[in-house]
Amino acid sequence: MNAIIESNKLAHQKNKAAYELKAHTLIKALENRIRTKSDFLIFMDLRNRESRVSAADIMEHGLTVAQYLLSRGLEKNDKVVVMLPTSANFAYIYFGILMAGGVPVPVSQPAGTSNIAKYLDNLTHIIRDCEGKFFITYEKIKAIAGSLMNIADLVKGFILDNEIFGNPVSHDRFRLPEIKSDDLALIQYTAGTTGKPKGVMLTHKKLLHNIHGIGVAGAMSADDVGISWLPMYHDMGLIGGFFTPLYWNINMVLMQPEALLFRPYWWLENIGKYRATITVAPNFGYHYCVTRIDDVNLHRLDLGSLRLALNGAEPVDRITLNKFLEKFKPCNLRDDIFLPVYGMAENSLAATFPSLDNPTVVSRFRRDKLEEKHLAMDSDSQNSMEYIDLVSVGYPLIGQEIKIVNKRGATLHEREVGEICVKSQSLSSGYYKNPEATHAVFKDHWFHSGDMGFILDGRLYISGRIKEMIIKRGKNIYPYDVERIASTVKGVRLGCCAAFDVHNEAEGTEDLVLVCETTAKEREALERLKQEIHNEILTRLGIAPDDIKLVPKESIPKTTSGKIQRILCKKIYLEEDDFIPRKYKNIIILVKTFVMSHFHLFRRYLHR
Amino acid sequence: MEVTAAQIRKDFCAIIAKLAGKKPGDLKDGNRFRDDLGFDSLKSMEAISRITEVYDFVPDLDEIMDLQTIGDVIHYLEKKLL
Repeated sequence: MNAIIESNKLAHQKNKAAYELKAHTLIKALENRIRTKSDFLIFMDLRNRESRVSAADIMEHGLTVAQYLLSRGLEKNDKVVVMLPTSANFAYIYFGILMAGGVPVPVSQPAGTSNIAKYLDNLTHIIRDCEGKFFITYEKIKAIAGSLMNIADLVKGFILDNEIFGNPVSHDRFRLPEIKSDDLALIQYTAGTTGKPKGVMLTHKKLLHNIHGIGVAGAMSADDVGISWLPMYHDMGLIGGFFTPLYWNINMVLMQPEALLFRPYWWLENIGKYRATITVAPNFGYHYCVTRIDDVNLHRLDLGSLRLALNGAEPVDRITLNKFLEKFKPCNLRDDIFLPVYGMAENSLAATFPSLDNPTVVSRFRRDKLEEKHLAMDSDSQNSMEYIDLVSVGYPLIGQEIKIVNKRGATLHEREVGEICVKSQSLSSGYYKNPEATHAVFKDHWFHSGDMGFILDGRLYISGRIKEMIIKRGKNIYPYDVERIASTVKGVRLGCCAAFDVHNEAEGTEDLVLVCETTAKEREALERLKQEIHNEILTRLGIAPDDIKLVPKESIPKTTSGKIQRILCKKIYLEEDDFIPRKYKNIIILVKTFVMSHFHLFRRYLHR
Repeated sequence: MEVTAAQIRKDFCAIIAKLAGKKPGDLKDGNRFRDDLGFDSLKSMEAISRITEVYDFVPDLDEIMDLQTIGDVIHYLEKKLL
């Protein structure tokens, strides 16, 4: 008898705990914060020097921004596209737009000059799609992207941040509109797996439901101190790193992504200096610290204050977590800090968090059952060909529901693999002016994530993306699994592999194709590398890739949140003669991943 | 220890050699990080980051944007440190 009949539990989890929001608009949350604890943000510059910004400062300068925008003709619900680095001005301008009744649309900065044409294509699309009335950026960007000035033609006002604060408009000149909880407070553009970015509409109330849920799940309080280097334009940096600490009275240290990349040591040094208790990063950040921070510096670090290290936005790798814990153990690091989390822009940000009592749950499942029968059956095998280890992302946040459905939309049982669906008070009403895309994924108040997973003992596990599942001779293969193994081969760039299937007409089956980035150039080295990848996958998974293609660095397309765009990759594989690095031809999409995009300062000289 | 031009060159070449898997003696000032050494953005940044760590010096990140060869970095550091 299989486990499904034994458990007979439906794969549907609902967190019914009652709660009440502490504020119904972000502006109210800011006012609350001024009353209760105005100390708020500590911005670190690119030399790791601090400057402090209080909630009262945000109100004061936000009002200046609001008056300025109203003087320029901003009307209720006008969209304002914001391209700014992590800075006090970002905070002032964001709240200024809200207070004036506008809708902020944050966008990333260009990823260097080499790919500027593609970046501008995307930016132009976003500005047109959201009907942006104003575009706010900063003076320095001119040096990086002179051609950005063409954007001025698309909007009513092209504004540099300094203009706003240079000649402040009197705070009582224009009457500020009333802001309601159902007003839009953010349009978050998300690249998705294919196609042009779509604008996820989020109201004040929806954001606050999510922020409330994050705080409850993380047991956050005014005693906490947070630290983040995620960019503020990105949902994790904006909602997780700015709005959540605002609401929960948490003091927040904000570093710039460039600082993390240049001196990862500063991140950990600042944890000790400010006695930070919570930090957040994608898997990459933790991995980078393991490889980049010299052991000789460990004695100067004190990580004893840290109680939560959120890990999200990309697949969580158990090996990275273990290496991080091991390396920084001498720095008083607790071993129970990692919190693998799951969410999506369409649900504001977060959907599931593990329980704090047991934050990192790794379970071993039988590979054959998972791949062939879509069933998560326990395994105690030590042979990597027979098992797959998955890290759980926990339970739905307060007021949220998750369920696993099959292709017909029927709810499955626990242990059965299907599509993960989310329902909550923080779910977006859809994509801005895009009913077709909205109806495809928002059905009966449920968001169909396109992610594959299952529920076991009430906990959610992610196993892949539906559309990207490789089916070879009737066997399901998880692309991430193949890519992870390929990444372990020396010479392959970490996290820069894409696995997908290609129909083989002659044999009537699907071929497994693997594209890997490498810096190797010589023919002999490339051939050797191919063989090594082939052998490694064969040994570990028991299947042989039908074709391995080695491509230059930065050839594989990724989404803004760093996910490999496998479908697009397959399209290029099938239609193009070759993968071409972005520096030569702008075929491959993409606003870069939020981490890679911050290499722009450095990229400029590399791409000449 | 007094910083000398020779020391900067030696230290930086040692870092590059390790990252590139080459011998320090095979490196030339004109070597470009990307085109000659096969470095990606992260690795180039790591090289500059590491040499500045050796001298406990934090550069203005805008200034190092234009450095694209081994020689560029060495001359920049000489200017800043000597």
